Amino acid sequence: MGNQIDDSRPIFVQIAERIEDDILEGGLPEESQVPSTNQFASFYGINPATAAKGVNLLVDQEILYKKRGIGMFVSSGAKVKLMEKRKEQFVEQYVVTMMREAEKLGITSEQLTDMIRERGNRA
Amino acid sequence: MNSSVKSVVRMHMKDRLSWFYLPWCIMLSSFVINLILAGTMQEEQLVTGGLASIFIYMLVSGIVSVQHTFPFALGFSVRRRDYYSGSMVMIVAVSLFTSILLCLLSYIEDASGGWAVELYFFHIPYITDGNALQQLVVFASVLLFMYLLGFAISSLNRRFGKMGLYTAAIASLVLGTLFVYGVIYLEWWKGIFDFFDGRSAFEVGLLLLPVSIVLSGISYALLRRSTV
Amino acid sequence: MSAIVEAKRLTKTYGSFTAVNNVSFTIEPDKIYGLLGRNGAGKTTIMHLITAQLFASSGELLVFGQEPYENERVLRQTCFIKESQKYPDTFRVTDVLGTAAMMFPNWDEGFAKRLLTDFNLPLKRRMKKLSRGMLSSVGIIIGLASRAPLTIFDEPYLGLDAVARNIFYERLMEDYAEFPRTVILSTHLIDEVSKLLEHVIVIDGGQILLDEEADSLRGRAYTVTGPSAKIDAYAAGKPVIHQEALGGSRAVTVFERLGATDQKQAEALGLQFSPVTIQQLIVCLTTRSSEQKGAYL
Repeated sequence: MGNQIDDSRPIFVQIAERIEDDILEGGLPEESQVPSTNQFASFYGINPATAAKGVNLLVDQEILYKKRGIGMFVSSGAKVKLMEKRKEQFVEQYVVTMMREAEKLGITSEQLTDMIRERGNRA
Repeated sequence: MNSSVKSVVRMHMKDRLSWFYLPWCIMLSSFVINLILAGTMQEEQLVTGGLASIFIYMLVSGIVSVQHTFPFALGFSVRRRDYYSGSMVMIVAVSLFTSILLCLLSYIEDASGGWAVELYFFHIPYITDGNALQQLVVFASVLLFMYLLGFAISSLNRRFGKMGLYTAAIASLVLGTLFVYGVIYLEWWKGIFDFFDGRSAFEVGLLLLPVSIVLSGISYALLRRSTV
Repeated sequence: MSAIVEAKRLTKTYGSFTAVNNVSFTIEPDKIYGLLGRNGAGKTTIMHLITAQLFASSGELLVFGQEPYENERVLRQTCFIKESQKYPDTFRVTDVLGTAAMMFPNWDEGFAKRLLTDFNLPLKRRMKKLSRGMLSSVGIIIGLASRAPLTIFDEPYLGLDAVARNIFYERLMEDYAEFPRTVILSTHLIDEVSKLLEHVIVIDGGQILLDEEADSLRGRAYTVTGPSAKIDAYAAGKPVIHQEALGGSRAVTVFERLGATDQKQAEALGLQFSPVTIQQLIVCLTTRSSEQKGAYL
């Protein structure tokens, strides 16, 4: 039980994020079957209805689709779609925060881009 | 009998210790002591009241049983009505069963000349005067009465708690006092004496039955509104 | 499907004391509910009312669409496991389980046997001689193996260690997945069970404080920490449900979802945020003094 589910954020959102991560990292290729609601529920030790809500969130966004009587599958094109969505979040989550912190420390945007470039070269 | 009533009977049956083994152990140990006594005494006939132990046990058992099984049964989603009906079935069955055994022992005692030592434990003058059926009725009605009295007392406790018991105790004390006053000073004793004079144990036993039915009805009325 | 339990303006008084005060709620089919609150909040009374073991002073209560009192159809479908359950003195574990098997129509003997092994219970031991934890295990086995369409657990695991509690959670969820049913779970260990719950009802002082989907309570409040003056400025006019001070810094818990603008405002002020779990939220809400109660709900 457990498996790092955080009790201070809606669990269905966290389940959706886990599935998204799996799709982005290749763990769940397009057109492959997604574990069942009950499998999610028992793996994370959560209520099956909550797990279903997380899965349905992705169905609504057409990341997943339902095959009647078989289960949930990853849509083709899901990965690209997710990358677009995550890129938007990336700006908000990392770039904006970074720039705010940089401002506090008196780092100019030129210095900042230099720092990023340097890291990029090293990596 | 619906299935829930049957289940309540079977629940009671699981407690064979309280319903069968314990009363018979208590009574039979009294019997054995009396048997030894009678064996050591020469030439004399021994009539004892040891049989009373089983009737007293029934009273106590009636009190304890409700205390233990009512909250248990209700906790298992049993209706009060089914608990009551099942318990009544059990009480009547046990009283009859016990009476049959007592009759049998009474008969053996009589036929064996008091177990060969002239001990009269089950075969007691007046009580076992009638024929087999009459003896059965005497035993059964007294057992039933004692059990239901206990059952009613315990139901009263269930319904109204300790205050209910105290109130009932005080009320019966007052009524008892008034009754004794009536018996002595208003010479009711004459009437009472006349009433019982010449009546057999069988007839008295029959008279106990309506009293038992009233006790049973009171118990039901109390349990219907009892909580856990 | 219609509601499993429907309570309207339910009230239970004992003399001048009101244990349950004008409470209305609905329990929907095949969901797991958490009935949470402090001791003496009225949870146990409500569960006793649902099972007709206590009588309401006023209000309406329907279980499976009917009044539960002396109702065979309703009671047959209900299993109420409570911490205070009494057992006949002479009964052994096997007698109690045997009785349960007769009383509950959906009883699964195989499941009961597996649970007996899980909890390592001595079948032949008298109930009187069981430890507190063992007594709790008996209740848990009955509650699970009865598979009653409405199963109610009131503090089912007193005296059980973390391992045994975990077995309970796992078996409950496995069996629930296979045989969906309505479960009401009342407990203090909110952190342990919150992930299992679909819906949460919080009772405080005989009244309903919260009646919401469990997931909607996660992230429903947040705590901000920082220098007192800045915190005061930030928190002014916000629904603060809890505060603590340490030296010159202060932490306040705000009962609202953290909006993007709030977060920007606060981060600009140099304040720190932490999300609040369901347990923390309920503790905050139920420890507030009575005059504050209900102010933001």
